[in-house]
Amino acid sequence: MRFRDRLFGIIPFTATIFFVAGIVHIVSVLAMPAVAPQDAVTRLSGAAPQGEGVVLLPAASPGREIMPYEDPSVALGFCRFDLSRGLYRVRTNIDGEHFIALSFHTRSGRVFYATTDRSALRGKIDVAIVNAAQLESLEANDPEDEPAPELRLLAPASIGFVLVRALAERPNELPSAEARVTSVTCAPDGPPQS
Amino acid sequence: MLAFLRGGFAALIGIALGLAVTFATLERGFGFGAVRAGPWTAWPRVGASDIDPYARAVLSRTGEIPLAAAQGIAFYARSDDTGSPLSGSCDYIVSGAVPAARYWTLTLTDPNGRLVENAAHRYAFTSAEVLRRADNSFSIAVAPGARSGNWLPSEPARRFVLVLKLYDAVASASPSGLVGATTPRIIRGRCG
Repeated sequence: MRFRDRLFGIIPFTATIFFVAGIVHIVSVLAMPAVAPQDAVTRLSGAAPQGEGVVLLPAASPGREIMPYEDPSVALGFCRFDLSRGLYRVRTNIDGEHFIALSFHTRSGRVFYATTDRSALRGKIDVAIVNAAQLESLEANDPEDEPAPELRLLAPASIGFVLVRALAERPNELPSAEARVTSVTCAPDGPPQS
Repeated sequence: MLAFLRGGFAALIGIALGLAVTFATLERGFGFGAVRAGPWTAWPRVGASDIDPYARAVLSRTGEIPLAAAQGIAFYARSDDTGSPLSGSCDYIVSGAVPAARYWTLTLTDPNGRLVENAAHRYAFTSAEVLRRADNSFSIAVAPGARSGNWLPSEPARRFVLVLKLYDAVASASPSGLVGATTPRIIRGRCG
């Protein structure tokens, strides 16, 4: 009798432990992007003052890395966008020879689009980051029978960042890779006239 | 009253267990979707828009911004071909084929992804600068002391990680293209 009592006592006890542990585990994993104090955006913002246009990050060297596993052969820059201030244009010319890559991230760092100079059309990368309303008003103003002049990227969130990577094939080419990063123009477009 | 206390006790143990499991899984790398090739491991989905919640949690903790899937892919090696952890107590030779890509870079970092200071200011090799033999093959010596040819300095007696990044990789768009990819071998030489 006492054994059965103890058995029935321990089952709800362990069930409660596993139930709570499961919920805590799932919630803590899902909440990590929201609560982690040192995520990519925080590091980027801390590394360089927030401003308009592309911000070049200091070259990776021991003790001065902004992010782990940074490639010291790559010049890095970033632009922050906020679609509540209008659509955001990112443009750069491509020389067809040197590697330059753009990736588009939400605030939490998730990639929603990426491209490299290999997939650029007509020697340039020309992207407009838009929300649904801005896309609609752009399309309303499109001339008939003409392809859109730029790539329109529907952003899943209104705040995010664009990361620019340019590869220096040799260490002494880092300055020219940095020049390719800073030649990227990022700017909010004024609110669309309608 | 006793039942209430027992319930509270069970909940406390549950919270501790749940956090411990989270910590343990996040310490183990990016979790699901790992692709292994020899001593190298890549997580192709980390740079894709369908990244899983575990990988997202890891990235938000470390602050790493991975290469996007359309741009390339990173392979990480923490051990040599025999499975022994990479250590600055030993010499290694990295040689062999690299998966098809426009460029690759090989970087040496500490286990937390930080570059390792060295007098030669050499932290990485790119595919363009690495010295090659007549047949276009290459080998890179990873050792704490200076070597002739391609020498990537490691920190004496410290663990390290080798990161192979492929830019404009042919296979990076589809993880299945990476399975069984030919990656460089990491052969341990003298230790001491």
